[in-house]
Amino acid sequence: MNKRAAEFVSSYQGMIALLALLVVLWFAPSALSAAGLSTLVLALFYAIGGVSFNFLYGSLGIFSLAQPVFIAVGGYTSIFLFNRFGVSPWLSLLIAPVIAAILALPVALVATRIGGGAVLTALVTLIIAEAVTPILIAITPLGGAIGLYAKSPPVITFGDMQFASGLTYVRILAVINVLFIAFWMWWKRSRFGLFTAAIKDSPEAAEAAGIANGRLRLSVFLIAAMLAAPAGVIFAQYNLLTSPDIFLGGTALFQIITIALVGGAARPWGSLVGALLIVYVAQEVSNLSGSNPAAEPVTFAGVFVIMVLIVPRGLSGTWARVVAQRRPDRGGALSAIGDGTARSGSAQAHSGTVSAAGGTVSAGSETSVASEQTDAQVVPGQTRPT
Amino acid sequence: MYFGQLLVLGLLDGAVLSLVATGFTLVLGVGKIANFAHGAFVAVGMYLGYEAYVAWHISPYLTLLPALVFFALIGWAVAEVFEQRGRKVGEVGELLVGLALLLLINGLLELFFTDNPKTLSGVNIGGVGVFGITIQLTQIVAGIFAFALAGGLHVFIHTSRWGRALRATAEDPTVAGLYGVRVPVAQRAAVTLSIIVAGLAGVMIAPFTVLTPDIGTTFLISAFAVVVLGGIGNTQGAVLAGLFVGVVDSLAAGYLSSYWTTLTPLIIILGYLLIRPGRVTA
Amino acid sequence: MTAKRPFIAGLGAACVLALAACSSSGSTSASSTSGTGSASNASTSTKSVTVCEVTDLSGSQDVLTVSEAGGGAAAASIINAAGGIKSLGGAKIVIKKFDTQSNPTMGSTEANAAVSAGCKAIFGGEITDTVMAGTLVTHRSGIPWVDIGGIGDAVHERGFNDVFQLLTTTSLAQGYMDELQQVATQFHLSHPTIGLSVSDTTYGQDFYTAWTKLNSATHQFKVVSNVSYPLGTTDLSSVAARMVSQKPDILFNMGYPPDGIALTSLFKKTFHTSAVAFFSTAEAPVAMSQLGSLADGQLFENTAPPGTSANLSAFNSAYKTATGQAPAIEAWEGYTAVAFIGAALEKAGSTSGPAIAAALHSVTLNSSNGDIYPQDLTFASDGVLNTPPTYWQQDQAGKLLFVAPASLKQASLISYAG
Repeated sequence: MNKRAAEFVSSYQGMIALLALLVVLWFAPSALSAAGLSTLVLALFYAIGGVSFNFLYGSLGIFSLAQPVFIAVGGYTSIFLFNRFGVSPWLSLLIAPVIAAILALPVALVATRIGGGAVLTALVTLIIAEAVTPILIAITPLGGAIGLYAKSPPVITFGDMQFASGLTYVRILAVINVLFIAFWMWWKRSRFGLFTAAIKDSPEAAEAAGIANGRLRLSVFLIAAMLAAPAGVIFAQYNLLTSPDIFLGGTALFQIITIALVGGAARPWGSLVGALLIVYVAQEVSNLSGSNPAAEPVTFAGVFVIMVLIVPRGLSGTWARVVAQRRPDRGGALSAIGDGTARSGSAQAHSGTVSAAGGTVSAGSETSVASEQTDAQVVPGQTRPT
Repeated sequence: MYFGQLLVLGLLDGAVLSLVATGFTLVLGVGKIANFAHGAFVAVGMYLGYEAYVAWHISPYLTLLPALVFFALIGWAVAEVFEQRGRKVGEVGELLVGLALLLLINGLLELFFTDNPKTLSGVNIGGVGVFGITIQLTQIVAGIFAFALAGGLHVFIHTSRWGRALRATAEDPTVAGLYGVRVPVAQRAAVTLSIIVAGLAGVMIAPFTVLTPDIGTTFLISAFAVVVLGGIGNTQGAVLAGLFVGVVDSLAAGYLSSYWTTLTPLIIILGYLLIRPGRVTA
Repeated sequence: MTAKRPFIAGLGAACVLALAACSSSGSTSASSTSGTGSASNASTSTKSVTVCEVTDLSGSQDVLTVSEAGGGAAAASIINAAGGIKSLGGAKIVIKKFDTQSNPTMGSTEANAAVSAGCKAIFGGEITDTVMAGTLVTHRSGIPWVDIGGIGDAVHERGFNDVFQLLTTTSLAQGYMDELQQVATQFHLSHPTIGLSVSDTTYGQDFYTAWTKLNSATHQFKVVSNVSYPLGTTDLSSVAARMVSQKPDILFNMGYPPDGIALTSLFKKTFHTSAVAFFSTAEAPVAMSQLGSLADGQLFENTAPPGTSANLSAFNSAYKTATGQAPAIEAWEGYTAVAFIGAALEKAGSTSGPAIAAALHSVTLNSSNGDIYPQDLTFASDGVLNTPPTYWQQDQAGKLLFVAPASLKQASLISYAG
């Protein structure tokens, strides 16, 4: 196969794989019991939240604990509009992300201004997330601490997004998951992906190269918020209720990032894998322990601890490393070992600037390896692959 | 009268907050690690004090000494883990370790003590009447303890040789190393010290605080806000800011609504950003 | 070629994981059955009826559900020992349990699991949100649910004809209102004032709304201070300060049981109130053990049936056999729910959901079919229990004495201020 054909095929490989995933998620779950479907709904819901977090974290290294807030926005928007104005939740799937983006703006401004790295951003976004609950409760039309119960119409139509079986919800969530993963894959290949990789690597160099740091940062934050909202819409319709506790309660705040981090930010499918893994593990632990009070939090914590000690980059990050190490000379990966010269195409890493930002790094998907952390030290005059 | 009540209660709360914040500012400013689990260690101390009393009828004040040893050991172990992971995977590594610890401690506390809030009402050493209310001596003792410890730390850091080593490490680890300071040891010591402080604070406040497993997160957030206000690495600032926040919280809860206690940390951070739009640095 | 392999492999792993997990998920959620009167997976047998307990067996509410489960098990064992459901050929009641983990998002999950497991009727529930989510599922499958602890009025306000509540916030508020009136009368308070605090949660807000509605009929009680506090507030000192600041006649906390305990500690040790009564939802045994003499004068609402009827004795021994302990907390509610279901099955003579639901609406629980209370119990047309039993007790110098209703009164009220 000649090079051009190979490139053509490779750039569509991902899409084909995604379609295969969608087909599996569409048909396979019909074999599940109602209980299994409910669990799958939960897992897919978490997965979307994880994508939102990992998109932000993977692209720009921003560790945001505020993503559950935007999921809550989705839930509240959907049920509020449904109750008050009879707006179909399908429409809310489009409206909620807009509202989430608007509300994300101040959060983004605060989170990006804080500086000081991932930890301080994490702390600040945690504070913001915790502060949202009392604010939400104070807004009376949103139901206070009770939240909002969706009205159950006498005759259920498709437009109400209320279905007898969880299977339909699974399918909807699966489609959303696949769409988001596809989006992320596209993003990585696009120049935006290169820009964010450049910013992550060296903000000053990126700025010097003409990339609008501030605007791009904000945009990524807003996009991440918009990715989170649909999860809330679907979940709220599934449960027909939304409340501060469901989305912003103590454990809920940390569940999304646990799944996101266990899945890893290196690959778009990371959250999905992480979510499936953790939710089913948590179920099993809960069953095995009988009715042990702390089964769920301990499971989440335990998985997290294991991840931190053994695979700190998450499953997909470790996978990416394995892949990169097995094929160090192929695929245009900005090699993590050595002097950081990309081997394929014309990507040359010069003194600190990803000068290939203009688009000569044609080895599309492998560039994603560049967006994960490696052990390489920063040595002046050479690019550190991020 | 009402104001006086709120003021006194706020000062006492603030003293404890000061202590927790001093520990946090140490680990943040000197250890250069933002220990997400800092508040969780306070929670561990609280439950330790509770369990010792309920199971073996040992007063929290007697528990202090064994607790000191306990937290010193734990602290050193935790510092090791931070060191290992933090240096290997970068800053995110320390965040992950902190988070992992926080989740783990919350989960284990819930496992052993359940979610139900626990009150330790049995420890009663009398009280002092002021502004029409009786302030429990347990609270006053905790406040004095907090001050003493925070003050002691401050003096230690600013006058002793070891303290100078810590301060040098905080300012510039490389240069400190050149001057013969064993930087890794100093940093580990800072982390250990902060955990000891957190744990002991927890033991002291057990007699008058309602215990829940996830109270660690609340302490973390409050401590962070206080540290931001007082300056990272500034032990004196931590004490003053702690008192201030304690009083403001109490007054806000008393005159406005309890919701303000959740919003106060956010307002502090936002205010800080507005007034000093630069980055939050040590 | 470069993107293909890792991605496909990753995809394959995800699928394998998903399918493997999915295929084993048929056995998830259905945990083991309780002590007596239950066998494993007996829903295939023709001589048994599966009744399911969908409730918070773990998490923050688990303290309540242990007793609830014990009560349910006791009811089942008594019914089975007496020959089972005779109109169904002596079918025995088998109880299966499903854990919603004190997490409302598990409501629909576990309800689905229960439906899949062939439950004919469901009882249980501690959190209103959980029951709301779960009953949506069960209603669509036509399976009746007798809700025990999810007392929000919203549960029956949806108008589902197969959802029943033993207690709602309205009936709870009514019970408190009745006792408030007794206090006002006893202490000759012509314009009684109340220092109020409300836990800002579904339950607290519901309680407050229901009680305020009752009070607005006569405006008998004047609320002179009203403070609400978020869920998870553990430092209630400012709440206590505000409650006593206007020197009210009565202190009233609409929160969770631990809040009542924390507040009593504060009122007695720090704030020295002169109020004649303190109403909270604290439970007598827990409060008295944690607070000791500090609990003197505190009022406790008690739902334990008084007296010594034959049914009650049978229940006490069955409960002891099932759990090894004396009944407490929600034992009687758990029992009553299953007793009702048993009576409905008997009346309906069928295991179809709608038939059971219709029977629940029309059946009366009295001394002949297992009622452990002195009064007969029936459900109103909206699914709420008519006049749920409430009894009031007060800690008087370490002794827990009945102060209401009049038929049980052992002592007059004493002042909380001591």
